[in-house]
Amino acid sequence: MRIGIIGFHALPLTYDIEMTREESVFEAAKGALEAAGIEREDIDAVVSASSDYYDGRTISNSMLIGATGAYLKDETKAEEDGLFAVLYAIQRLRTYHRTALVVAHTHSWTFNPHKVSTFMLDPLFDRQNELLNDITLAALQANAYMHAYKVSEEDVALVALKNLRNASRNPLAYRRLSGITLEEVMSSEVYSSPIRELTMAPCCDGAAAVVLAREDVIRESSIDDPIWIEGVGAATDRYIRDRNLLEMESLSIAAKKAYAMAGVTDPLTQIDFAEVTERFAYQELMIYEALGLCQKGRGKYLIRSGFTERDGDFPVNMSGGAAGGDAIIATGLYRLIEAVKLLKNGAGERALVHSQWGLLAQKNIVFVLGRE
Amino acid sequence: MPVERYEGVPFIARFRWTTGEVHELFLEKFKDKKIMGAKCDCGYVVVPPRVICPQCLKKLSFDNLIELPQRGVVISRTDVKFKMDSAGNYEKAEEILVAVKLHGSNSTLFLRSLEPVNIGDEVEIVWKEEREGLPGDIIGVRGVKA
Repeated sequence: MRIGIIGFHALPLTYDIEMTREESVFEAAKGALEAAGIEREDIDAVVSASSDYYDGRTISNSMLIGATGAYLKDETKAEEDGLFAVLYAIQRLRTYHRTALVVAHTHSWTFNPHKVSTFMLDPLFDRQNELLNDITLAALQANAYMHAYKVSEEDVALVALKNLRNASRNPLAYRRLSGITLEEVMSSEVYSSPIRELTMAPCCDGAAAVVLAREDVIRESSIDDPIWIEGVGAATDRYIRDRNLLEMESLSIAAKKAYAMAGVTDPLTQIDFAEVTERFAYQELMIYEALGLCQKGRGKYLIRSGFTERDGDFPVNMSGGAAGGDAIIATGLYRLIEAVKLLKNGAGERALVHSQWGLLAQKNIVFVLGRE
Repeated sequence: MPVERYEGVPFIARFRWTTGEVHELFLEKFKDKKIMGAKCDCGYVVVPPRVICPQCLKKLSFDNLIELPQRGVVISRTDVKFKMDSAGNYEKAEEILVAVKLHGSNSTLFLRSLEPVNIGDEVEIVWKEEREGLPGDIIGVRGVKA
């Protein structure tokens, strides 16, 4: 039994949003229900994604029950990327529910999300090192990867340039820099070498929601043009100390599972484009490799040749990706929604969606979406 | 009209963790300038030592502890240009952070480097003069002259 996406809504990404968390979540949830053409009463299960640390309160979903319409319904939360909340929702629909609403949000201005990353470190050793956080760890991974496979700073900047150019055309994006050049990317401020301001996703505020339904429910309600979830795969890697920093093994596993479920044997010919969560530009090269778009260490050739540009053979992040705005927990749902919009606009028949969670993408999740 | 922002109630949370017996010994040995790792039967050497092997998930105990050399190889380096205070504000910084694999260890340690070093360089652990059995006893690493 397949699961379809029948409605979605995402707020424009912004910073210092003048809305409460409840207001933004309510707007996203209401918009998604309206797009699906159904009422709150038609929803069986609600799964939200938010983080206690980012929100500054524990049980961060407790105040959202009214906003998501989850009152007196089967409700749960993923304290991870919104795509993991979609996975929870699929599990509920595969067992007994007919419809589900998934909502994710982050207000980055509440507390610096990069500071939150330090609370993911092992408290008994790594957290005592004041230099460690998600940015400096990414810098270490980037340098190790770039050194091992002779990837230049320019290769990484080309990824950022592609995504920033795409983001400048996306009305939902937060960072829209029209006319951005390679020189501007390569001369932007260094946070921790080689990570620069423009090769790093900008944390921002956002809320997004999708409505999912079982295939039989979609058929009997004659909803047109649903987007089907054909495959899903998720995997978790080890803690950073005991991981091979040169590859994203858990993403390779997640992708293989999603491909197997969707019957994809050759992603390059059977999938038309991808929306991926690259918190740092170098990660996108590693993502190409883990998704099986090229061999290990050869991601640089895909960006150099324009293969993943919007007019290339396999466009990646036509929406701009996380480079256009990273509403942390909601970013996976933004990628999903962008992919759904692209499919509906005829950009292809099949799309891949990826998101990640944890230090150096410890967890990864992949969806394969398809039209009828 | 811009909305008014509130800084919120000052929230300082202090947590206490039990380190577990093996990690406690690991820290205790810092007083003698010793770094202990755990060697699994599968050959994987984990540092700081853990009670489950990250490679094969076998149970590890005190019997698996071995003393590791204090020298290793730099597998990555970054020049850190900022730090964050406890409120998450950025401050300018000029520091070097490295990823190091101690000889004979499979785990990667993330430590401050007291001097410029490059990927592939041999480095050694630098200890605090007065050690208390705490993570801060390791100041960082420095290059080893060939």
